[in-house]
Amino acid sequence: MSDRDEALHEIARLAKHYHLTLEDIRRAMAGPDMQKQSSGIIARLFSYIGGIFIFAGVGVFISMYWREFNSEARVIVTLGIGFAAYLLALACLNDKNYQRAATPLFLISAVLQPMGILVLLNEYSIGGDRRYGLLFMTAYMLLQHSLTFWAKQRTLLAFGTIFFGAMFFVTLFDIWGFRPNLTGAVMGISLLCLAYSLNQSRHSAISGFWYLVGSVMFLWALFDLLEDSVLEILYLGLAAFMIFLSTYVRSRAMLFVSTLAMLGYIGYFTAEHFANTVGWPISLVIIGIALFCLGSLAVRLNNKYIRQPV
Amino acid sequence: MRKFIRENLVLIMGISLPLLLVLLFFLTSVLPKSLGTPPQYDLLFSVVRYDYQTATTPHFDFIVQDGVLKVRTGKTDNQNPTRYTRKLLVFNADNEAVREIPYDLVQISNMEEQSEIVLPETQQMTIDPSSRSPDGYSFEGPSHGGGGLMSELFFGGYRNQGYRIVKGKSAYNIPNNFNSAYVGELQFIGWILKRQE
Repeated sequence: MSDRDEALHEIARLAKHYHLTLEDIRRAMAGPDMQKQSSGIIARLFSYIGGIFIFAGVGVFISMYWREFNSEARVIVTLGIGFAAYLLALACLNDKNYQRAATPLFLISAVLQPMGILVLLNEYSIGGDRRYGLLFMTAYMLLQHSLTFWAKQRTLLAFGTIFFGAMFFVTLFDIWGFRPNLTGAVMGISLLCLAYSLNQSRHSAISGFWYLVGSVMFLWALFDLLEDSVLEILYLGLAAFMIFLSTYVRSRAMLFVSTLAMLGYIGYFTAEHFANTVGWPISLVIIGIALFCLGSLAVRLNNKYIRQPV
Repeated sequence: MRKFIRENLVLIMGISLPLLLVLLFFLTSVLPKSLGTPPQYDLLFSVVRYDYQTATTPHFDFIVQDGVLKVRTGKTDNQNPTRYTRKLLVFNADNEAVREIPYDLVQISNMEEQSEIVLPETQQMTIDPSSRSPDGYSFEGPSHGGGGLMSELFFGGYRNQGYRIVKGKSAYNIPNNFNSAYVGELQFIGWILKRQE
């Protein structure tokens, strides 16, 4: 299949997936209205700057008077403002003129609400394991973000849902005393699956980040699991498989992490087995050559299979 | 429904993986406990505690003779006075809580060397010092492996589960937040067959 046929196939797949009509595609091909686009950028720029100012103002106010605040005031200025920002963001989503303000407001609420819940627990709890407080906070935020995402389908809320969901499960497994490499492996695979799904959806902008986090977690956990065991050498195969997988799912972040993992393992292996022998300088040369080869292979894989033609 | 699953298989996998782990843990840890018979007898144990405010007491220990809890004093070492004392605690599995049995330390301080007394606070209790309670539960210290496949899978064969009472797969953890100032290991005394009226 030629590149042209492949591109057509991809366009047809995307059009089918997002229910795009030929008219939609024709309008998009005609190019955007430049005036409309530039006013859109300015509106977005101002909304983000506004968000930064609000957040900075709230932050400075809280830090200036934190010592003077009693418990109630501390909770109100963190959780209260965070929740108010969340409600405002929801209100903005319902008004076409203010929709761009929703993202900064959601961001402010995603920072202040967890902080506020932890402050609330810190001020009013009677002791106990702090991890339960963290679990409560992540459960609340997960519920809030997932339900809002369900209703509003915003990419930022998808990000929040995955972030607080992952935090919730990691905290839960830590409380139950699971071995960290089991938690890392399961959460890593889970995040890679979610990143793949995100990449197929209209929230693909955040898939790269979750590919990065997922592959780091998975490869780190697997190395921890296999280290010093008879199966340790399998890690090299696993890293190679991850490089192959990165070309299949077209993820540059995953390719980067997998290549780094393979290089790291080669370095670790040679240092472990050849460090105190005459062959150590030779090992260093071999590592250098491996670095060159893998680096160039990664670039070639990226160019051939991952990079999307402009 | 089948079409939705086929189209979103990877997404479903991503969400269900951690949930599966939770389910597996629930099936292997929580379910046996809720299906098993709860312990019928409270556990009596002691912990060593350092107390700088308490007057020097002689070395003493708790022993059980003919179902009665006694305090036995050791030799008094005037050169090395001790400020270590023992707290007497009861673990109730119904509410999974620990309560302290307070006793008068002064009467122990006044005891002769190598003598025994019955504490009034526990004299009506009947205690079974055997390692296994009449209903089959046994006391277990922090686990250091050998917990089977699931333990190996979840906890790497090692898990500091703390102290607990166990019968088959059913286990009740003894909370360790009863006193932050305790030192040393928790000492098993016995099972309370008859409680104080």
